[in-house]
Amino acid sequence: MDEMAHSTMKRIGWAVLALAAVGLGGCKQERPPGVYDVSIGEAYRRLFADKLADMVYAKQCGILVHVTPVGIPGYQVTWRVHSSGREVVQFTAVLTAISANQTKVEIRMPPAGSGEMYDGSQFYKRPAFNQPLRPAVQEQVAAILEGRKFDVRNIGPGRDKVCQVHRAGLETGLVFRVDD
Amino acid sequence: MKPFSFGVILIACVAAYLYYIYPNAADGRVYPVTIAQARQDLAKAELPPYVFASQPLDVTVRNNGDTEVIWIIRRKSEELFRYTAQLTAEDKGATTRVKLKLEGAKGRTEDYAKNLADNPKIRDMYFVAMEERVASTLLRRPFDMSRIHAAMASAAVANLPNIRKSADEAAAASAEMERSTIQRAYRNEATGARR
Repeated sequence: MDEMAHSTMKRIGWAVLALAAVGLGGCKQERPPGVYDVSIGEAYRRLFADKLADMVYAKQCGILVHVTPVGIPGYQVTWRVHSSGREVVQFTAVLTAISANQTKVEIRMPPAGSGEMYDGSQFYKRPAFNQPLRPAVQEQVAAILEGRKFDVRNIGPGRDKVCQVHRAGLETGLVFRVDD
Repeated sequence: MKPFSFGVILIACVAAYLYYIYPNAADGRVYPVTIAQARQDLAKAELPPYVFASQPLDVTVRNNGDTEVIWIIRRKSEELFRYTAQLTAEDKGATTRVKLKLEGAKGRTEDYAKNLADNPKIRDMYFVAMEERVASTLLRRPFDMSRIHAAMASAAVANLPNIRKSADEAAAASAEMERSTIQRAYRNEATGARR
């Protein structure tokens, strides 16, 4: 009787394993966040070539900003953001090869106070971007590496009231300057 | 009298009363003014307010003989439609019957007659609003919006898809304008122009 029960359990165990294998085989493997299906060389090439125009348009406030990518090939791309000749913020995408065709991208923002620049809790008299900025940078990087358009719906609304007022001014032709 | 007969007579009376107080619009309405006065007053009447929304329209009012006043509505010199008030003297000249007509035009760019025919609720609203304009003018009272609310609501419901399309187009146009304003700001900055 014991032997029979043991044999039945064994069979059930194999069946469960087989089913799990079939189930897993049917699923498309989810990429971990920040990992993209491109080689590190291609990721660098694409990011370095991009001035993030869509993200800038979606998030900019009332000052005019210019984005300049600088990079260390195969390692990182930093976007420096200037307004009236002054650097107002920069952020970096650090690249790590996961495999020949997969690259992990980590976004780094400069620290500020107890958080980081444009994290939603900072105050800027002449903000460059609506806060929080990190989700917008992540979305822009994802759009570039996934070969799709930047989708503003993926980043949530901005919370910076000063920025919103300045942006409304810019949209009606009133340009602010970082040194006003 | 049997209850059934009484019921029939009652219904007939109510119908007759309703016919009396709501005369057939096709027969026009009678106003206590002479035909000359009606013609003179209507020649000064403007289009009803709010009904034509944001469309900038030109209106020409014309007397056609003694018995017709015509409002010709144009946009950018193209006739869209016209109202015609046909006047008939009644009660030995003491009153005037006014029959209003609304006709769409076959314009250069669009067949407005067909547009009106295809959108009967809109057509009804235009008609009811102008009828109220005629009535308020000849009865010398302010234009009464409440008399056209039902027609406006009905037209709005019928026009919902167009309203939505129009709102989407307005939003897209607004976004495009904002984008071009921002682009111009960058161009001005590049050429050294400030503000």
